[in-house]
Amino acid sequence: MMWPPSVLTIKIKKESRDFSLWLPLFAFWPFLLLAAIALAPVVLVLTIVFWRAGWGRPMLYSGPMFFAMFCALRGLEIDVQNQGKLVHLSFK
Amino acid sequence: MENNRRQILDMLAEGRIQVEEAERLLSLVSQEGDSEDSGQSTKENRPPSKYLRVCVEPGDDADEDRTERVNIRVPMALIRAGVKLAALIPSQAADSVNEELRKKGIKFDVSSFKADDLDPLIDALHDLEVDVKDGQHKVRVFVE
Repeated sequence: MMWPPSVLTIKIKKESRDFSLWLPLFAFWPFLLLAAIALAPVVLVLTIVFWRAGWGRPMLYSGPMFFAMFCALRGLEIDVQNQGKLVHLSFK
Repeated sequence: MENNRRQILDMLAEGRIQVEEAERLLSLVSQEGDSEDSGQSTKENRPPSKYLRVCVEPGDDADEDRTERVNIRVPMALIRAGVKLAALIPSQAADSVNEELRKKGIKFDVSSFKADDLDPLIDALHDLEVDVKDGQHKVRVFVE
């Protein structure tokens, strides 16, 4: 099973300014779980209401799909350097 | 390979080829089978591709003040998840997306692309390496 990313690291460096952010994403997991549990009945009702219009299936599967995409972010790294400027983003 | 061997033996039985010729053809067929099997076992033993990498570096003729470097690593799982998400697009929305793509000259059906189609493509990309050098930049795209 793929776990969601635990840490998000952002570093931005300009000539005289440095900005670093180390975000512990694992601290948000309980809140995400609570939000998923709270929204589940709402999504179920909306799925039934919009099933005939063709939007039911996307609505039902979108939650797990977005969660899978969020988990797949683990390992994503973007590193751009240009003339003393640096932008670094990584999910671990 | 079994079909080829069967055909050779049938031709020998019908008298269309001689024994020496049948022997030569059978040895050729068995050599092809060995190379296919070793290729197949190489593919099976190969670890699955995990990341798509795009690297841009200054070229050999680049100016000293041009120091752009780009290093991007995209997990293959993210690409797979994106394709699976695209498969959820309802048919009405997919038709309007296809129409917009056609206006841009891209004849592609969004709803026809499935996540199962992606795995053979990713396997084929394992040996792909794009290496572009134009003096100012070096661009490499590869899978690891």
